[in-house]
Amino acid sequence: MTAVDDALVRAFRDEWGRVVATTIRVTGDWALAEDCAQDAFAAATRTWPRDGVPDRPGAWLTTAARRSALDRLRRAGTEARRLAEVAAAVAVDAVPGPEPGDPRDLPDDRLALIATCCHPALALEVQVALTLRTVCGLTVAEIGRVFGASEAATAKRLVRGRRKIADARIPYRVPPADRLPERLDGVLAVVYLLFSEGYTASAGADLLRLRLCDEAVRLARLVARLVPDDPEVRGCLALVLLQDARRAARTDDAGDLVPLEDQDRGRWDAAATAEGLAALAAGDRLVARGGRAGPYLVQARIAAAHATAPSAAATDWAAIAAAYRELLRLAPSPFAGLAGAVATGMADGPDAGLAALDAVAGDARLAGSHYVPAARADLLRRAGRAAEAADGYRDALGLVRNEAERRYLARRLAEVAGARDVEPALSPPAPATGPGSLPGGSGAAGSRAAPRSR
Amino acid sequence: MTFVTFVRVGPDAAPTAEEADPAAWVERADRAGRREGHRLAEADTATTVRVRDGRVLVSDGPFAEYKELVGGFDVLDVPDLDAAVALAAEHPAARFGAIEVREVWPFDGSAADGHVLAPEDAGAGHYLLLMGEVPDGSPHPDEPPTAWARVHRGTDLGGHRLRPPAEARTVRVRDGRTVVAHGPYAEVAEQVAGVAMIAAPDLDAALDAAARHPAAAAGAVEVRPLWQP
Repeated sequence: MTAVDDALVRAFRDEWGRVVATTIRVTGDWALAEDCAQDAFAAATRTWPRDGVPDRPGAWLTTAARRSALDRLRRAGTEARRLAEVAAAVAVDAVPGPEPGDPRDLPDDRLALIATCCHPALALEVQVALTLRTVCGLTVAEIGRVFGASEAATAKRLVRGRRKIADARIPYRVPPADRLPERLDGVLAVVYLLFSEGYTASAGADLLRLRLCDEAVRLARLVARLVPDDPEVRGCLALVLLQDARRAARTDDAGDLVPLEDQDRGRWDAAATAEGLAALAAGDRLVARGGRAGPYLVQARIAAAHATAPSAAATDWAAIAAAYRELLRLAPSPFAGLAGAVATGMADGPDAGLAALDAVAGDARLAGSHYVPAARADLLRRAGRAAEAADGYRDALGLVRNEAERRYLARRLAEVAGARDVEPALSPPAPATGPGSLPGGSGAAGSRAAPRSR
Repeated sequence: MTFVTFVRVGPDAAPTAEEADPAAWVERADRAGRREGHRLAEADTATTVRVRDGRVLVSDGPFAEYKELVGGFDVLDVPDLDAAVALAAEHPAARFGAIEVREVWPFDGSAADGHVLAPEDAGAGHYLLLMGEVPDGSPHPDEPPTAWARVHRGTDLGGHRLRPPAEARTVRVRDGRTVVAHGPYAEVAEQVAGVAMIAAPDLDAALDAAARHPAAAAGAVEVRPLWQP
């Protein structure tokens, strides 16, 4: 890849959202802004190899997009008054914008864009599609592929979202301070949903899905930069980073899921872990100063307990089980209850875990989920009740849809089906392994965002 | 007597522009006692607000998912129900959709106060709130939402509480015959119990107003922008 190609790729990744956001502010037209951003990047692809990469790629692209907006409006025969308004806005706005990292950087446009994309008056699937298209710059076809929808259906979803924003007058602005925490909840939910979508399916070789993880991490970083004082924003960033750090170790060469307990901790991404721990520490400091602790921060603490354990055996399960209890208090969810039961089983023994599991397993929202029989089977296996464990794995295999998880469960079934039932007294001493069947181990994936149809 | 009639049209109805044009009806209805009426923006621009345990829950879409959604409404001052039904039957949408006729239920037992819901040129920045309540659930509040009206003085353009849905008439015209059905328009959990019009600079402001209305706690409030040509 040449230096210019590299600059183009980087500019697209870093500047797409900013170019779209600024153009929406100037023109008030979402579809137009996307077309103009497209034009700007096409122009860069044409001219940068010839003229060299501009000193300020972001400013160059924004200017090109504004020019394209005026051209397109003129060609569309826009009435003179409206054209003059846009031209005036463009002129006022044409003062070269600061580059990223510049302390003068005013990132408000992008926060307005993200907050509008994730407005609660939009359906969740529309929020996700709009965020991926307008903030992250994924194409309509890519978004469709990620969510198993046709390009036409995805395009319709985006049109519906843009039309609601226009017709119902969803404001394009940074939410006022009194509304910001509530709006951030929606933003973080979309960020985390994107991450989970990529993470739970990343066992396959689907690079596009892995890109969702990258986009989620990038969005989480951006929101943390735009809203530095919110503990939950830091918590969300810490959570996605600490989970994403395990990505390389989560699958083996065959693409099979490797449970947390068996992962090669040397393959965890030390830089991502460090950044995640720093984000968590920043969030904890904000809570100490009176900020609101929420489910993301608590889940990040769980992920951090795994990230900092020198080995699976040395994991502080008591701390993790306590964090799950806190999580259940903050955000009751059967998924967190399930993961908490597994942690309890690790901290206090399989019988305690099974008792905790029984307390949540009947929740209707877990009906049909393979996680319940799989978690039960793991606990039974640790209790030395191989025959019952085998039944559990069989039940789970009947429900699981992800191929890598299916192979994992089949392997466990082969293990326990091969073993004779042993008396509990003769079973191995305290289990030295982590919760196997919950991908990633912390159980955080899925605890907020239930798996969505794809 | 004052009636609010809702124009309900299903997604499959495909009237020509000419068939759907209510201009001639409006002209006739205005002489027969129509006080005002507005077309609403498409149903997928609706947002529903509920308040539960002090938390404001905002969701996309109308509060009840049924086929024929409210596409517009009219306020009629006519001598009796028969006159309202007759006028409804003349509405072009009665031929490809349905007109739900609901009598206004004044809060203090007196006649409706006569104030207009929205100015003639309503459009951008005007939202209709549809109050949805569970008919057999929480008791219908007999008190008018005075606190709400006070807070929203200036933005609240007035509204009407409606008599229970069981007293509704739904008017359809099929093959030239007028068919009047008694009872609620559709068997859904939350029925329209009232309407209010507000002026608001944007959806957030409209959602704020909706969340403070007592109906948001008892049931749901649907926020629909008016149609803008």
